[in-house]
Amino acid sequence: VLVLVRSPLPRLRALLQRCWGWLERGLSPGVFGDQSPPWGPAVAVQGPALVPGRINDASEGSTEAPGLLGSVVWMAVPKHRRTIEVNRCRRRHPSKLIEIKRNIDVCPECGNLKQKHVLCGYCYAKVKEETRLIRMEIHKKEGGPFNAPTVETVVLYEGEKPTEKDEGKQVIERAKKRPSWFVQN
Amino acid sequence: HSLFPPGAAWARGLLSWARPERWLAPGSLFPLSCIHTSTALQKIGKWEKKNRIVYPPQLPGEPRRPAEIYHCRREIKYSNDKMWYLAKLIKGMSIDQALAQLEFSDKKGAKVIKEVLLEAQEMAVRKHNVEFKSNLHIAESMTGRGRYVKRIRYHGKGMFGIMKISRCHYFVKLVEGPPPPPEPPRTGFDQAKEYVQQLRNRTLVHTL
Repeated sequence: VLVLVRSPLPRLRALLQRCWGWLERGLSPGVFGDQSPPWGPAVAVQGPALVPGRINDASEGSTEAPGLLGSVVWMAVPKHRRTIEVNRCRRRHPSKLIEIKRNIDVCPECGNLKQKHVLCGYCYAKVKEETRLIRMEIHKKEGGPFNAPTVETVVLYEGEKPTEKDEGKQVIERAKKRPSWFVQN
Repeated sequence: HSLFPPGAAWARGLLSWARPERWLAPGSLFPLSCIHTSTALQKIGKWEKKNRIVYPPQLPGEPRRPAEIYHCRREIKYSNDKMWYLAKLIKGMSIDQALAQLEFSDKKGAKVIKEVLLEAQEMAVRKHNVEFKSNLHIAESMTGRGRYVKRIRYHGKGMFGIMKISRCHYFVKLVEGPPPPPEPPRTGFDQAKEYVQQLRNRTLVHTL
């Protein structure tokens, strides 16, 4: 079990140092009074620190695990089991239920459902597919990386000729009928 | 000399009539008997059997019994608790509204439930004599716990935890017809009326 000991407050640190000192000496916590406490080390309680006063301990080393006796830091822990009724009240509270969405409409182009602020998924997939094919054509024309021409591109479908406006532009041929949604300029 | 050495094939042939694998039924450890144990299809669930009930023909005066379609999917790789929220969402909706809500939900179970609803709709039109596929509403939608499996999850410093891989079932009952109107919320007036009625129902006990 991993025990995390965070840096305690100064008073708590003093208490911990006192407790550690008592443990090192093997004394019970009640014994105090005639001894002035010059005890030692201003070391925090975090590790099994070797106190310079105890020589016989130094030989055997600290065999005990760091968290067993020293960590007096109390952690927050549930005291009782939460019953299923209490759990249900929390899990089924209206704030935790899924809200019904009221922003769903019908796409006027394809008739599928779409959210009001988002593009229609079907139409977007359609356009994406066509763009992929056009990009494949461009790739075939260019033949490699860094060959993109510094002019505009015009996409022409079956039976279309480049007009006088498309003089200096790069022409990409697609062997297909022009899709209805791809308007020609 | 003639009997020695008996070949392996000969020895096998001696006892070939015994064939111990035929003594046991394929699914169980008990010897073959006429008792049906859970074999081949591994137990058809109760929900699947609900589609098999056949009502006697209706009399001419009776109101038409709406068609009921039961469908389910077993061992979906999703948590029971998380699936419950989706099941609660679509309870009582019409099938179109439910499909719309599930399509735009970000949860993993939404995709599964949508498939189940579409399958059920298809079944309704083909086999259960439903005229319009939109004329269905979801009467019941529930989840059940599937079989859990425990696995080790490795942490740092040699620590480990045991994680459970949870699965769930999803059950849905479609009924023909428009969805029933939602219940009006209980007002204070209703509660007061019920309280007064309870007071009026009190009688004297153990008296003449």
